[in-house]
This record gives sequence, C-alpha cells and structure tokens, in this order.
Amino acid sequence: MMIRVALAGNPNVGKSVIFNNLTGSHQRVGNWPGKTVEKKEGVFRYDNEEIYVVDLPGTYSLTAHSIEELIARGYIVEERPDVVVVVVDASNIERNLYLVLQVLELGAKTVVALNKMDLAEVSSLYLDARKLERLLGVPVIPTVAPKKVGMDELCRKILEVARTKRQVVKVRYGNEFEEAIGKIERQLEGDKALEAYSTRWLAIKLLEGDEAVIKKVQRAASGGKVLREVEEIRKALKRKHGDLEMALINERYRVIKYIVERAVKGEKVLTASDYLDQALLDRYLGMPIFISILWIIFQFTFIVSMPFSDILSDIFAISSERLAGITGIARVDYLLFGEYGVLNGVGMVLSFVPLIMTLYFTMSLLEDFGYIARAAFLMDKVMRKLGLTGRSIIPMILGFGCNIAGVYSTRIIPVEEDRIVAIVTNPLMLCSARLVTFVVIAAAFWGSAAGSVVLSLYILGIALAVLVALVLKRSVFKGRVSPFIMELPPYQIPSLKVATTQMWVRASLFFKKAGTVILLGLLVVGLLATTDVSTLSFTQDIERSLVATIGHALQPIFAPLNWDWRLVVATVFGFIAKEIVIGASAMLYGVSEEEFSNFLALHYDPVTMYAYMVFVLVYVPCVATIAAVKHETLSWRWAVFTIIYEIVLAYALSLVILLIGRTFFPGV
Amino acid sequence: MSAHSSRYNRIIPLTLLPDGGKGIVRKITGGFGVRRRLYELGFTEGTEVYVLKSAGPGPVLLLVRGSRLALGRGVAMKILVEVVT
Repeated sequence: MMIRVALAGNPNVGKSVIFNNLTGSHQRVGNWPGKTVEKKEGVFRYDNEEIYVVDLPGTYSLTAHSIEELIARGYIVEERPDVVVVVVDASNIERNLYLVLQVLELGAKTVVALNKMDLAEVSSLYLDARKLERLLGVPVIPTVAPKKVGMDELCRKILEVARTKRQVVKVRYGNEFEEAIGKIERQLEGDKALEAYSTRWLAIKLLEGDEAVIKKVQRAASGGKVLREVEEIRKALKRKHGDLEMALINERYRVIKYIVERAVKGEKVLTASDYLDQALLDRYLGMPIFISILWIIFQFTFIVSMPFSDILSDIFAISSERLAGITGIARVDYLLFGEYGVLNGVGMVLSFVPLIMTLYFTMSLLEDFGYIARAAFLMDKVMRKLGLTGRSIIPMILGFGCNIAGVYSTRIIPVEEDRIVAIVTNPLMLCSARLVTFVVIAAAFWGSAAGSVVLSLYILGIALAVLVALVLKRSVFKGRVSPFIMELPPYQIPSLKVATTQMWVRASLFFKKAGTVILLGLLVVGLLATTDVSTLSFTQDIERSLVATIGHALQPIFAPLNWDWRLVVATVFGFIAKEIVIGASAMLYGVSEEEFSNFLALHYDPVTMYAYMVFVLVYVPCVATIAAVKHETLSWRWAVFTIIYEIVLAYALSLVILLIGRTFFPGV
Repeated sequence: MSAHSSRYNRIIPLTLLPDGGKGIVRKITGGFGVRRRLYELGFTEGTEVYVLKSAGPGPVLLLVRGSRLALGRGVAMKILVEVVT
C-alpha cells in the first residue's frame, strides 16, 4: 500500500524546497479542482516503500476562512493522509506553532519538520527538538532544507509514524475548555455518521461555532440533540470568555508560550536583514531606491545583452546568405532564406534571446533577495489611493518579464475582486516580447535617447494599468480595499544558481516558442507572401501575393494611424506572439535586421512610430496570456473583456498621440 | 517594569508608536474578520509588539512573536497598545 503524506505549513517556511527534496523530479503540478490554487503532488520511494506526497497550500491557520485554508483542512479531514508533515520555520517558531496545534487538533498523525535551523541560530534562537517533541507528543525533526539536512531522518520518521496506530498528543488547553471539549466529545461518541472524524476536533470546532462542522453534525442522527447541548455549554463559557473562537485562539497562544518558554533558549535579536530594512523601507529613501533599482535592472539588461544580440544578428545574416540555394528548390529556398524569408524573421526574434535571459536573471536575483515583498510594502500607500492593495505591485513587476507569469502570480492577492483587477490590467505591463519590437524601433528613430523612449512606454503601461484599475474599482468592484497584512521574510543572499537556472529555463522556453508558435506564425506569413493571389502559384512579387491582398483589405481600418499594409499584417499576426510583430515586419519589408533601422527611418516619421509603439504596447494580449487570463478568472468573460478594452484603448490612444504629435511637430 | 506601574501607561493606536517603539496589545477594534485574522497571526491581548518601521502614511513593519509582519496603516490603527517605556 502506498503511504500518503500531506505537507502543511505557513507560507515562506521552505515547504516547497522540502517537497522538491523528497520527490525530486517526480512531481506533477496542477490545480486543486475548480480552484486557482496550485496543487503539487509527487511520489518517491524510501526503504522499499512507495510514498505519495501532496503539498498543501501555505496557510497560517486552518479555520475555514480562505480558499487555501479550506483546501488544506478539507484534504486532511476528508482524504485522511497517513501522515501530515508540518513544516515549521524554526526562526519564527512561536507563530508557526499555531498551525502545528491546529493540525494536532485534527487528530491526524503528525511529524514536525523544524526547518531553517541555521537561520534560527543567526537570530540567536536555540531550539531543543527533544523537548519540543516531549511537549507536543509528536516527532520533531530539525532540518535545513536547501542543504538537505535532516531529510533522511524525516523520511524515516514518516514511515515510522505511518506504521503506528495512533499518537498520544500532549497538547491540552485550560481546564474549563478541556471540560467543555470532553462533554461535547461524549455526546458525539457512537454516532456512525461522524465516526470518520476525530471527536476532539469536532468538539473544538463546535465550541468555536464553526459553520462547516455544525452543518456536518446537523446531518448526523444525533445532530439535533448534540447541537442543543453544545449551545448550553457555549453559553456558559461565553459569559466568562466572550467570543469563543477568539478565546480558543488565545488559549492556543497561551499553550505555545508555555512550550516556547521550555524548549527555546535565547531571544530573537535584530539581524542584518532588519537593519537593511531600515534603509530600504525608509519613508523618504524607500521610493527613490525602488525606482533606482528598477532603472538599474533596465540599464543593466541592455548594456549586458546588446553586444551578444549584435553578434547573434550578424550570425543570422551570414547564415541567411550562406544557406541561400542550399535546398535547390527555388520556391522553398526563397521562402526560407530569401529577403522575405522566414529565417530573416526568426533570426530577428532570436537575436534578442540575450536580452530576455539577462532580464530574467536580474529579476530572479531581486526576487530571491526578498526585495519584491518590500516593493509591496513601499507601494501600499500609493496603491491604496487607487483602491488596490500593495500586493498588486508584485504581479506588475513580474509582468515586465512575461504577462503570463504576471497573471499567475496574482494568486498572492487574497481578495477576489482585487485579483481580477490585477489580472486584466497585467497585459498592460510591457513584457519582454514587446520590448524586442520597441528596442528596434526606438533605436531607429531616437538613437542614443532610445532608452528613455522605451522607458516612457513602461511608464505609460503602468499609468494605463492604474487608470483601468481605477475605473474598475469605481464601477464594477465597488467594495472596500482589503486590509494589507503581509509577512516580510528576511533578506537572503540571492542564489546565482537559482538565477542561472531561471535564465536557462526562460531561454529554453523562448527557443521552444521560437521553434513552434513564432516559426509557425512566420511561416504562415511567408507562405502568404509568396503565393500569388490570382493563380495561387509561387510568386516573388510580394505586391501580388495573398498577404498583400489581406493587408490591403485591412489597411483602411488603420489608415488613420498612417500604417501601410505590411505593418498592418505584422501587427495582426503579433496576436499569436508579440515577437512576431518585429519578425514579420522584417520579412514583409524584405530587409535584414541591420538595414531594418535605416529602412524604418526612411519610410516612417517619429510621431507615427511612437503612436505605433503605443498601439503595440496596449493592443490585445497574446494568445497564451489570454489563455492565462481565462484560466485564472475561471471564465471567458474577463478574457473577452481584456481583449476588447485593450483594442479600443490602443486605437484611441494611438490616434490621440498622432493628432497631438501632428499639432506640435507639424514638420515631421 | 513592574506590574502596577504599567497600569498608568498610555493606550494609543499602534500607528502612533515611533520606529523602535514597544507596546503591549490591549485591544483590537474593528470588524470581526480582521480581528480574528490579527488574532491568529499572534496579536492577542498581552502580546508585545516591536515597531521596526513606521513609514509615514504607509504600512508599518512589526516584530510580533518573532515574525516580521507588515500591516497597512488602516489595520494597524485598529490595534490599541499600551506604551512600554
């Protein structure tokens, strides 16, 4: 029989590192049924036993008040895993024990993994695992997950506990409460319908007035009688202790205090992390530092990646020349390596791989360091004025890499309305795919000022997101702003290994995308560009091709924006993946990357091109992002809404910029 | 500090404590939902709170029961503390 283990724990305790240590690569990531909460499960072997592990959502508690809590509690209560491993942050033991106590109440067989033991020592906390074990009545294993310390012992204990019949939990609350719990337990005993649950847990929850449990008991045969009895007991206790749910929270913390006093030596001291916060979260310095950090990342990304990009584009130009004629079939040759060929387009896109890699590398460093949580702290003040919570800044920052990542990261926003606002505005964040297009255009028209021009687009994207959020909060979601409550994990030295891994993962994803979606999109454009519109045979005259016909048909719609048909086609195809915009432009104009800048500068004026970039910034999310929006809002409604508002906004804004530009710079 | 002298200390909203200030939670006002959440995070009556950063109109960063918690100013206002001098 397979042993089933559930991992529980607060957020930021290193639960997923332990999960990864246990399961290795044998894991599956999905969603909890019907919820947008991630479910990770995996199987591993230890001592000839097959062990299944599920990673429960990180929660601070197991009351049924948030989706995560409901899932975690529901799994332990209904699926009854053989062992629950509660992962605990040793450097933050007091608050972490709260969840341990709640798991013990559930009557599940438990092992406590006392993680981050190294960090506890840094903060001058010395924990006695043996003593903790005796006070709790369940095994406690010290671990340091990133160094894989204690993993073997943990596995051994899991097996041992899985084989024992039951544990004798030592945690007891105050006498009055224990008496009440005992009385209710006796009422519940013998009811077949409730046999599956721990009577102690049911009794505590009934005492607290937990609605889900009351409903469960109501359905049981003895339900009515039990609930009447419970009401009597509650009334008596309430007179002295007030609200009983609060009173029990108090009780748990009282017991925790007792345990900590006996098992923990030393007092937490302020660490380097706290001193760093004094500067980074300063009321005057905090914001300038935040903006400087973003600016540095942006500059660093360009300076580091551009030489590599130049080398790559040279390589593509040379290979295009060398490969010409290699297939021997004129038509294929022209389609692939010709002036209007696919390689020209794909090469254009691929030469920006270094840009994307550096961007992800630096963002990973920042995230790993612990700064992104601080950004939420700093921005809460501003976001609140807009009716949002500080947490909304996190998906926005991640959206600069990729909107899909941004949309998924909105899961950290606890209130549904705020989350939807964050999701539908995320595509306005200038992602790396669009950056590729803007870098080329900006370099063509503004030379050394290109950086500032691109920066203006970043800022415009943020401003528009704020505007759309404001409108939504004033109309559809008129609720109050959710309170900002967030734990700030201590800073840590960012891991180069994590950043490098992240960089390569992103690069390989990009190659995959370039080899599939982008290549396919460009191939379609290429085929359309080399097929004669009347005879459907091969043509080298792009003006007579199918794509020209399509372009000319659509062009009137975009005529007010001054685009020619080629730009129209490139932009429309960009809907598949935004990198296609620049790749397809290069193909349709039939110029290589090196000449592309000059070509653009000759054919367009700066005002038209700025308006064009604004259009590309705002118009429709790419297909993959639309799918992510649908997936995370659990409905097509918001995906469609996002597409429509973005198209309308893009067109209107682009037109306004053009009109204003024409008024102020009539010459250009 | 002896028990009886603390009886005379001022009770103020948490947001009024300066950086580095200490207080003991005496009462949490506001809706039941927020109160329960704060309670579960360890802000029970009698708990000592240390202010790491109270940045102007923005959130406050606190050390409570060994964890660093950031609370929006609105929430922090609802926690009444007795000043520890």
